[in-house]
Order: sequence, then structure tokens, then C-alpha cells
Amino acid sequence: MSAIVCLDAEVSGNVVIGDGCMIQPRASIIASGGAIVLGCGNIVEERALLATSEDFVLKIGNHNVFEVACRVESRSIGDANIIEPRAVLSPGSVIGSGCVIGAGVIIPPNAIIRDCTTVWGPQLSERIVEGAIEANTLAATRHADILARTLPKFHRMKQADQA
Amino acid sequence: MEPQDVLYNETTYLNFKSGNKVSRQSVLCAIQNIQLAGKTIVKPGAILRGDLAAVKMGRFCFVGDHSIVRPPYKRFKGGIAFFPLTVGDYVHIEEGCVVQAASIGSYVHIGKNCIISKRCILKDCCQIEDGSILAPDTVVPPYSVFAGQPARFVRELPESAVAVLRKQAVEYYRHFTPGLTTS
Repeated sequence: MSAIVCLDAEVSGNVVIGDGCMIQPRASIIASGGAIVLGCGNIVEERALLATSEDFVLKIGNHNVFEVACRVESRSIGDANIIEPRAVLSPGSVIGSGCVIGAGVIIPPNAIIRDCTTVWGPQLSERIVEGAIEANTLAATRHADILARTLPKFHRMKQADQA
Repeated sequence: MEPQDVLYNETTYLNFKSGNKVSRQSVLCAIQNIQLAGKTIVKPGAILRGDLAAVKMGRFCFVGDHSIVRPPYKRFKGGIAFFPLTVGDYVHIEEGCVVQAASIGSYVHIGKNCIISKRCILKDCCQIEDGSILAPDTVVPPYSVFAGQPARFVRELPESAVAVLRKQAVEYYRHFTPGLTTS
């Protein structure tokens, strides 16, 4: 399955987009510093911002969902994470796999979030959820399937960047 | 107190016969799936996602600057599905909100920078205060005010709230007038 990048989305700098990624309208992926490497099947919703400012590579794994208006400037992100609306991942943070970062949560700079952690609320409460990686991967795959069917009907696409 | 006139540049708005005023800088995805009943204002930078599922808005609604209204989805055993989003009449969504509710009743006021998570149900006549974050699947009962992160019940609205919220919405629409400077 090839990647879908809507024409309204802003992609600039050295960005590699993997197979089956869904970049929805008004999302921004701006590599003004180092490169941004997206794995397979990532979903980037509207007004989400993936950015690098310093000279390091932002590596993103597979099947992540970046929801509305989140802001990601991490160093690396694993697989099957859900970044909820308006969450902020500060520069230098490292996110494992199967994590859920709740709505409006601000992850401080250089923080490390371990695998399968759910973070929520202003106090950054944490909880480990077993089996989150499998569940999130399945959900993200299904989500991407639906978007792959609906988005081309209504939006014009950019020529997909090759991974 | 009489509300102030809010002036807008007529050339940057699309004026429809039904009274809808939609900014040219807003993004309405799949316009055939978006239904605005009339006298609704959509400000610049707002995004309405009709491509995922139908979005239906009533009369005298308002979508503030940079707010996003998108239909919610739910995970099922067999996959995920998007649901249509219905919004009642006299609903005021302030700037910078993310709305993914399943349904919003009439006479609702949503403050600035709120996040209404997936599948929330906002009943008729309720208010969400500025900066609140509603957890997924929250139900906001009638005549209640919710605030906080995550948002919880804080107080009740008086019975007159329906009239007040309706008047506010109608007055806002009436005072949203073309022109750049006051004469």
C-alpha cells in the first residue's frame, strides 16, 4: 500500500515517508534541522506538527497515530503509539512502543517513556497497559485502511515521496 | 449589555443565501457531506472534516478561529468506523477547540482551547469552560457546566440559560457585520 499525502499538507526538508502512511490535510512535517524518517502505516492528522530543529534525526517507527494538533519534536518514537490531540513531545524525548500520550499532556525535554505506558492528565500520571502494542497496531492498521479508501475520494494527493 | 459589533472583511467571506458566512481561509473537506442549516459563521483557519463522515450543524452556530470539528471514530472487533457528527442550534465553539464529539445538542457554549474527545455527548444547554479537556465517551448532562483536565461537573446553569444562550448566539450573528472600520 503506497503512502497518501494530501495536497494541503505541508512537507518540507529531508523527510522520508514509509509505505502506507496517511498524511491528512493541514498536517505539517517540517525537517528544518535533521531528517525525519517515518516508518510504515503512520497516520498524521490535521494540524499535527512533526519537526526537528537541531541537527539530529527524528526516527519514527511503524503504525503510530499522531492526532489533531499534537506537536512532536522527539528524538525517537517506537511503534504503535497514539499521540492524542494537542499533546506535546518536547525536544530530546524518547518514546517507546505501544504508548498512549493523553490529550494536552506535555512531555518534558529529554524524558524517556517506556514501552506500553499510558500518560494522562496535568500531573503526568502513568500506567502500564499490557498488550498495548498489538492492540494499537491492529487499530492503526484498520484506521489506515479506512483512510486509504476515503481520503483519495475527497482530496488531491501529492506525488508520494519514495521511501 | 449590548454586544459590540464584530467587523469582518466581506471579500474574505463567502455569504450564502441561507445566511451562512464561511471564511475563505477555513477548510471544509468534502463540502457535499457538510450541512449547515443557516446563519452559521465559520471563522478563518477552522477545519470541518466532512470527508470522514457527515457533519450536520444547526442554525446560529459559530465555529471560532482555528477550531477543528471532525467526526469521531470507534474501535470495534472487526475494525474501526467513523460516525456522523450532529450539532444542534445556537452552538458556540470558541477559538482553538478540537471537537470530536458524537453529538452536540442545542444551546451549547464551548470555551476557548477545549478538547472534546472522541464520542463525547453534549446534551442540550450546557457549557464547557475555557481550556477544559473532556475524556473520551463523556456525557455532559443538560444544564451543567464542565471544567478542568479532565473536565468534571462544577456547577449547574439556571433555567434561564436557554434564553441567555439563544440570545447570545442570535446577537453575535446580528453583530457580525461586514466592513473593516466602524463608521
